[in-house]
Formats: sequence, structure tokens, C-alpha cells
Amino acid sequence: MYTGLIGIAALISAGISNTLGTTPQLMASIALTLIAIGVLGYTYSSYAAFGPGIKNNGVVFRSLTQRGVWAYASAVGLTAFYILLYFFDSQLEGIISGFDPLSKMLSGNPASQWFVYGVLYTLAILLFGIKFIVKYRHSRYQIIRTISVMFFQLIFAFLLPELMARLNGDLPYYDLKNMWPLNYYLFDQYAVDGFISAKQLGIGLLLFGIASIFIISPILTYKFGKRWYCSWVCGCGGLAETAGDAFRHLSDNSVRAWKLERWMIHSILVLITLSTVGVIHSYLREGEGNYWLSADLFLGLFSLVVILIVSLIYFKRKEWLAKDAKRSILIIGALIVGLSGIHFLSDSYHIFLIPTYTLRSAYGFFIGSIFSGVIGTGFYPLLGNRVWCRFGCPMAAILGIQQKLFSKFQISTNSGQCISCGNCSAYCEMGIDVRSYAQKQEPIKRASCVGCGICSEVCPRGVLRLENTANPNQLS
Amino acid sequence: MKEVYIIGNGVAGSTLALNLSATDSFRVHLISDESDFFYSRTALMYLYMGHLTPEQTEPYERNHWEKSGVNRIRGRVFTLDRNAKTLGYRDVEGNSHQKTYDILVLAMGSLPRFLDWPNSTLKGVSGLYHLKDLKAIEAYTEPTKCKEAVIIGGGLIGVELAEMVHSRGIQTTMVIREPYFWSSVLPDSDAQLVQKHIEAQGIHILTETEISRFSSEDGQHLSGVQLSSGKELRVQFAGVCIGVTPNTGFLSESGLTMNEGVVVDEYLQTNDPSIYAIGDCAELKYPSDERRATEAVWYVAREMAETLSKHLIEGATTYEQKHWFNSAKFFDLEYQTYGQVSTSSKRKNSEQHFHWHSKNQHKGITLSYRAHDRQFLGVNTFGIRLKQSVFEQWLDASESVDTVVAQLDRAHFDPEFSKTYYNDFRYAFLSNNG
Repeated sequence: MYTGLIGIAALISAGISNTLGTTPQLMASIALTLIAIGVLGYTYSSYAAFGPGIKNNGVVFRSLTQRGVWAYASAVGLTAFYILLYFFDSQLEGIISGFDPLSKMLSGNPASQWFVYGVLYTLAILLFGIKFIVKYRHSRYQIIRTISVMFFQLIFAFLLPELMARLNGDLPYYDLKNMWPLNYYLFDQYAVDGFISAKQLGIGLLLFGIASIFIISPILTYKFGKRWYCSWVCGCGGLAETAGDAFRHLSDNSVRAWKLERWMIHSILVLITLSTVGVIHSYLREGEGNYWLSADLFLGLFSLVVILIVSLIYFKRKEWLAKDAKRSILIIGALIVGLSGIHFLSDSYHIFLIPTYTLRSAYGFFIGSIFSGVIGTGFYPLLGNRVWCRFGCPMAAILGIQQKLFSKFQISTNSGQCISCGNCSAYCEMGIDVRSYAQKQEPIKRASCVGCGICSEVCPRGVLRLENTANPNQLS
Repeated sequence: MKEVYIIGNGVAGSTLALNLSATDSFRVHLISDESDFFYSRTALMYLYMGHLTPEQTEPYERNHWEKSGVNRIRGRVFTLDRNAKTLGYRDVEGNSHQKTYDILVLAMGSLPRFLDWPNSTLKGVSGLYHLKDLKAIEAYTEPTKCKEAVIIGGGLIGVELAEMVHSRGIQTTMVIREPYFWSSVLPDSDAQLVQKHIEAQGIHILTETEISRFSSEDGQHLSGVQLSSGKELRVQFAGVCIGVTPNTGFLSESGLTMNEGVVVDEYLQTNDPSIYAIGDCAELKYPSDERRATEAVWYVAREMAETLSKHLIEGATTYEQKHWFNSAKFFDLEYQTYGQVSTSSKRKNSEQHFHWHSKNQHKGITLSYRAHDRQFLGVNTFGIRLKQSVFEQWLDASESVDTVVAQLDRAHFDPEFSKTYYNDFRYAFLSNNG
């Protein structure tokens, strides 16, 4: 662990290496090597040296993992890193230049601060992924799932976009596995123009982007639950599962937190839907004739889709809606009101009389940067590893609604075997009070469950099992 | 509104309290000497090992208790007057209170069993049952003071305590009366498999050994135990885990019928119609053939509480001992059992066993069945999770062992992608049974 700390120190010193008389490239290589040795050394001494099985000894005693001084120090450090990255990248020039050789090798361009971030992010998932695999090596589910997130991060999020940039300079950065609304910029004018000008490949990618959210994701969520994305594919989820694993027990599992979660995540979903529709609508109207879709047709189609979804939910799930889902109606109501609002109140630039691009950049700043980055990752050691996924991610909100409405996925309970010890609830990174279902012998079918399977691992009595066999019409 | 007093806020008392307070017919008072809120006793080991914080071991959110309307009282009951229907308790400040009840429910649980060993009150000797025990164990096993520990008794609490102290780097020896670990409950094949696993974790096990006394160098702190072999073991901590006895202290003069525990009929009622007993401290007057009269198990306590809730809310409900089930974890080895699998010493010739284990002995299954008609009787599994509901169907239907073996996959409950052993097991069973 200490070697890793020295590595981070070396990375910082890469930034000031000119004054030290060495090259930043050399310092960067040394830094990454030291970080790797640190993480792998920690993995060996904490897990590999012991037999397979759950080893959570001392988790709630340690300063770093129970909100002690080290936890606050790490949170401050990580937050500082994000702030530098987003707002003061000029300060990072030294470090960035250390990554030039690697960047030129991949995309042919010199490194940017985002390239450095990508390298560090991928490295974190790979190194802590190895740690995770060693820690849970008694479970094939955990091993396979972790190899999956490591693969998707390395190939889809990191290497492919760099190589695509080398092949075709017009293409916007596109991580194929990232869907709207997680990559809320997918349908921005510059991105769409980029796709269109890149001809077949670009159009194909654009269509794939649309299909991802409207066709591919519902089918996969029906079959496997939202875990197919959130804990097998997604990069944010990947980092949370690997680098964030040591903090999973910090997620608040009170009923109050659950209420807050539902309000926040669905509000953000409404917000991003409205602002995306607004952005598309305004450049369609502005460039009427340049695109094959007209602004009015677009709005009409979108309204139709919304009405279709609402009526499907309403007529198919009447009995369930009556009890549980006032919030869903609220969301949909808000969406429709929002839509008509755009239509009647907006000229080309405004949603609700607020300038479209102001709304969009506010979303990008507060949600895309501050929430998902600074709070979502920087606060791992204080709030747990899935704060963003749970309270903020609009993609998780959509998949969650799908999971709740029509998925075969659930966590089954083995009859009366629960001893209410609390390990499942404590180690649920989404803050689900798993025990409250297990001790009533009920299956767990919650919108937020990302299917990481750790509840089933830490259960000392083998009470919980993730399954794709539930009858999707039976809701808990 | 009936005034219900429940003594003890373990799983039995707390489950009953919440169930009754959900109706309008009872005002529920829940008295505990141990803790303000119901916590999971089975999680004591996770508190010690640092897996969980104290609040995380509480099965219901504290808010839930506030909303429930249950009146939680912290105090120790010391007297009972059945004629006047009053009980007396002392609160934390030491003040006495008298309360009148319509219904009294005894759910005081157990106490660790001790034998008449010399010096068993030395600092460094403790059982593991109560929060107080955990505090004592924390103090006794402080790493600077404690390097060696002995666990006396080889049951579920014993192996938990061994795992606990071992997790703090303390050299741990288990002293067991039986020839193998827990062979008072498991057939020898299974007991050996578990013992091998425990020993592989670095625990030293002395079988067919008892202790004769505790010894001390300074007259206050434990410094060793003397074994029945005459050998002296140098230890600073001794965990006494030879079982539990019902906690019935203040009832000795009450006139309630007592044997090992408080004797109750099929309605869980004592010989006083307004007093019931549930959980560890209750002893059934009419136990079923395959089950015991006193069963100090979480599941039994919860089931009794559910039954009594129904009895008090809906009327006349009897407690029936259904198919036995239990589960445990020995370090990293999970264990589940459904139905009846007798120990090697108690097994009659009419009960046949078939035991299989994987080469590395990390997985094992033992089936028991009746010799003459091959009716399936029960199963023990190690390192393999099987579905309880499927086994209950098989037991209810008096299914034959051959059907169970053929359809074993139906009970599959291991996590996805786990390697399965059903074919290995089936192959071994069929080659053994022609």
C-alpha cells in the first residue's frame, strides 16, 4: 500500500519534473509502475496470503474504510484531482506531457488531460479488478463479472475510441458501450454532425446509439436485469466495483436514503430527457432542411413514444401502479408537461423560456462533472462506492424502471434460512436493506439492484441467489 | 387493549412484539436487560471481527421501532406474582417498578453452560451468548495480553469463537470431548470433513479430551487450563462453549412447571393460562419423535414467535415441529441440513447413510434414508447450497432416496456459474447402490 502512495507522489512529481531535472515521461512510467506494485502487493498480503472465502475482518475498524482520518484525506485528495482535471488542466501540463508517447502510439495525437484520466481510470479498474478477483476467487460469478468490466473498460472505453480517432478524424469520441443518457452528449449537434459527416460508419454508430437505448437495453434487462449493464459493462460501475469495493459498506441503507434516492434519480432523468429533447429540437428547427427529420416531426414521434410507454405501463400494470408507483406517474406527467412546454413556449433556443444551451451546460456542469466525478468518485471513502449510480445516474434510472416493470431478474431467498445477521444489507453498495426482505422470506426485486451478487457472497447461510427465472408479472 | 409484557428482546420476543403491536388489540411492552434495540445474536462474531457495526446487526431500523408503538423498557425482571398478575423489574438506574399484565410472555433465551470446574470465575474465562460476554471477550483477548486461547467444546458457538479469536492472530486450540468435531450432531464422515477444514485454518483440535480445571498465576487472571490427560495448556483466554441452558433464573419460586426450561404445551402456554414461553427458554411438553424438547436455535425461536402471534391474534394455533432444518458456517465451509441425519453413534440400522465428498473435501453431501423402503429422511451438505423448499416437498411426499438423487438438480441454489457436483454425486451413489 505504501508503494502505491509513493507512486502517487511520483505522479505528482512528474508535474514538476522539469525542476527536478528528469523527463516527465520517465517519472510517469515510474509512477504507474509503483502504483501497480502497491496495489498488487496489498492484494497479496491481504487476500492471496489467506485461503479463499469472505475476508472482511477489520473493515469497520480501519480509518480508511470507516470514515476515519485516512478516509477524509483520500476524499480530499481525489476531489482535488477532479477539480484540477475539470477546471485547471493547465496546472497538469507536466503530468499530461508524461503520457504523450502512449497517446501518440494509440491515436497519433499528443495526450490531453482526458487521455491521462482515461489511462489512470483504466489502470484503476485493471489493478483493483485483479484485487477483486483474488478477494472473491471462491466465486465464479464474481470472477467472470470482473473480467467483463475489465474487458469493456480496456477495449471499449479506452482502446477502441483512440483507434477510431486514428481511423477517422471526424468521428466524435464514442464509447460504444456508453448509452444515452449516460453519455448525454450523444445527440448533441456537434456529435450528430460528426456522425453524419463520417458517412456509413458514423450513421451506423448513430443508429446503434439509438438502438442501444430503445431496443437492446430493454431486451437484455428483461432477460438478466439491469446488472447486464451496471455491474458487467458500465465503466462507472466498473470503477465502483473494483476501486470502490472497499467502501461498499458505507452506503446508507435507511428508508430515508431510499426515498431521497428515488426522488433524485428520477428528477435527473426528467431533466436530462427534457434538455436532450430541447437541444435536438432547437438545432432541428434552426437547421430545418439540413436534417431528414423536422423539429415538429421529431417532437411528435417522441410524444408518441412517451404516450405508448405510459399506456403500456398503465394498462399492463394497473394493480401495481395503484399501490407503488405514484412517482412513475409523476415522472411521466412531468415529461409530457415538459414536452408541451417546449412546443408552445419555446422558440428555437428556449425550453420553458430558459435558454436551451444554458440548461444543457448547467446539466453538464452540475450532473456530468460535479456529481458523477467529484461526488461520485471523490467521495467513495465517505458515502460509499455507488453514490452516483444510486442517486444520480439517469441510465440507471431507466434500466431500474425496466427492471422493476418487466424483468425476469430477482434475488431469491432460501425459505426461512435467514438469521438476520445484517451482512447482506451492510455490504449492499446500493444501500438496499436486503435483510428486510430475506428475513420475511421475500424475493428482492428492487429497481436499484445492480446484481453485483455480493449479498449472496457475504451471507453466512447461503440464503440469497441471483436468478433470471422470476415470473416478471409477480412484483414484490 | 390487553397489556402484554414480553421479557427478552431477542428474535423470539421482538418478532412477537412487532406482530402484536401491528394490531389494535394489544399494548405491547418489551423488557430487555441486554440492549435498547433488538440485535441479531448470530452476528456477535461479526461485531468482534469488524465486519459490522453494532447498528448494522439490528434487524429493524430504529425508526421502525418508534413507529411500531412497542414500549421498549430497559430493565431486569426480578420477581413475578402470578396471583396478582404483576411483575417487578429494576431499571438501569436501579429503581424498582411493578407492572400488571394480562398476558406475560417469557422469552429470556439461554445462558452459556458451565460445569463445576475449579476457578471458572477467573478473568479470561467466558462463554459467548450475551453482549456482556462479547465485551468481556474483547477485554480478555486484547492482543498485548493474549497470545494463546482455548475453546472448550466443539459446537457451533465454539467454532465461531475459535474463528473470532483466531482472526486476531491468537493461537487457538479447541478441546473437544467427542472423537471428532461436532460428532454429537453430525455423522462421523461429516464431522471429519468439517474438522479437516477447521484444522486447515490453523486451529489445533484436541479430541476426546476434557478440561479438569482453570489455573492462574496471580490468582485473578487465567494462565492455563489442565486437561483430562493431565497435560497443562498455557492460555490467557478460555471460551466455554459446551452448550447453553435455558435462562429461567427469577422463575424458581414462581410455581411455573419447570424442567430444563419452562414447560409449555402445544399452544406454547405454561401451566398458568396467562403466561407463555417461547424461544430457547421454552421446553415442549410433547416434542415430536425426531425433534428435541428444547431447541436453542434462531429459526425455532422465530417460528415459535410467529405461531404465538397467530395464536394470540387469531385464536387457537398450535406449534408444530415441522421438518428440522438448520445451517451454519465453519470458517469458510457452509453447512445446511434438512430432515433427519443421525450421528454415527445414535444411528440405528434402519437408517442408511450415503456420504460423498469431492477430492479436496471442500464439498460434501450426506443423504440419509430408511433401509427397508428407501424413503428419504434427510440431507447434510457442505460447501453446496440447496433449496429448502424442494427438500420440504420431498420430505412431505415421503419421496424415495433414488428420486431425490435423480432430481437433485432441482434443489440447486449455488450462485450462477458455480461448478456443480450433482453428476459426481449421482455417479458415486449409483455405483455404490448398484
